[in-house]
Amino acid sequence: MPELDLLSKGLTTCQGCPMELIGRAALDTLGPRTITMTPPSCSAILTGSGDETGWGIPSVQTVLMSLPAFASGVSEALKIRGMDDVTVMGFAGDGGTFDIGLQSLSGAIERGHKAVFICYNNEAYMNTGNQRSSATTLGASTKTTPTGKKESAKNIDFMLLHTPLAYQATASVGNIPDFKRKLKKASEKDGPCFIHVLAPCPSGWKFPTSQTIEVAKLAVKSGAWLQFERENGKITINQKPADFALINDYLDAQKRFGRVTAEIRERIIAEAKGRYETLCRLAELDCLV
Amino acid sequence: MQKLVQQRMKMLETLPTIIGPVSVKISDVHTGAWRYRRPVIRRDDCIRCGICATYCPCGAIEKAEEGMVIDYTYCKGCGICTVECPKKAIDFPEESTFRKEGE
Ligand SMILES: Cc1ncc(C[n+]2csc(CCOP(=O)(O)OP(=O)(O)O)c2C)c(N)n1
Ligand code: SF4
Ligand code: SF4
Ligand code: SF4
Ligand SMILES: [Mg+2]
Repeated sequence: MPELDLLSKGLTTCQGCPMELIGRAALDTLGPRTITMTPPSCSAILTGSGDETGWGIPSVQTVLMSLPAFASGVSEALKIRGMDDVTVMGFAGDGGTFDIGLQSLSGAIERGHKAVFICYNNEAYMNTGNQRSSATTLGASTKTTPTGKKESAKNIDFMLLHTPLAYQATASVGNIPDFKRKLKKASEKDGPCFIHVLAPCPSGWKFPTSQTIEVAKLAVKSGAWLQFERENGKITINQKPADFALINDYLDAQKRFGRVTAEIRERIIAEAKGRYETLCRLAELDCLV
Repeated sequence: MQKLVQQRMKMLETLPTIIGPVSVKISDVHTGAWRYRRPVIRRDDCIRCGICATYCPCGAIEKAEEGMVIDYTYCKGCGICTVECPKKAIDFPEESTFRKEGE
């Protein structure tokens, strides 16, 4: 536990917020030699508005389309000044990563700037009142999909397998030591890194605030969320799903899946199995970029 | 008062005039007021593993000499610590059972 918290405690995120926990754990790992930036999203609560901020480190509030471009600039400026011990940490949601900020992220990765891009995935545009994003799971109800989303989520992890990331990983708020280990590794790389963290959101997913960590654990155990990392052209699977049938329990734990039909359930489970099978085959290769 | 807030206040005294949009104050909302249930650690059952502190989103739990300490000024009462404690050493009574103190 550091002497000085690098993230203030009196922040107005919801009770049981996974995003705040990720931010806290991130700074616990990276320490004060970090510059962070957030786009418009729930994480902007940490950056604050007016003359107030929650961060004890330098931070920038960016626009939603181009956080990675801001990060690129800061990263290059640090390089010119020879400050290679500073970590640039992008901290964006799924909307700012999968949808609105995707081209900017793709550009920053291609140019090869040294930065760590964290995406906390709460599977919707939460800060504006829970509208669906391309990260929202099939069948989930949101303000814009009141009867359940009809499309499957975009698989950003697989998309990014074909980009020159120095390090890529998935993580979950259900396993903070694992997230910290991955972030530490990323901060030591000399290029762009991407860490995609599952962030079950009690307000949007509609489960009791005490269950944030349990829902995240169940996602991993059931195979609804895969834990893996890619480094030096190779994928390592960190945790094998225990039983895909547990996806039923995972769905039942969240009111956003309250109206899911048996048919949609089967599709969700089949897709999860397919993703895992693909990942297993990819893990046999050692020629990924 | 949080150490971070104190540090920033001290810094402000020594800063020259700031030009441009810069955040100089630390957000410091009394989020403990949101709580309707209060986590209370039973010292005798606690093994000081620190898991509650690792998973508290608010950073409201710290390890001290006398054991784990919860900062009720900021604890929002989400209940995550009570669920994650491997020893089930955290009770979660209604906030109304406590006398309202100026915390
Ligand atoms: C270009 C642009 N479009 C829309 C918005 C409005 N907006 C502000 S926050 C937000 C939600 C972002 O969602 P996400 O990135 O998933 O973060 P979350 O709020 O879920 O934490 C949106 C759409 C904006 N600020 N800029
Ligand atoms: S909506 Fe979800 S992610 Fe946003 S502050 Fe609330 S709990 Fe956190
Ligand atoms: S999780 Fe439980 S046993 Fe571990 S330190 Fe916290 S209160 Fe004590
Ligand atoms: S109830 Fe929530 S905010 Fe309060 S100490 Fe426990 S985990 Fe932290
Ligand atoms: Mg989101």
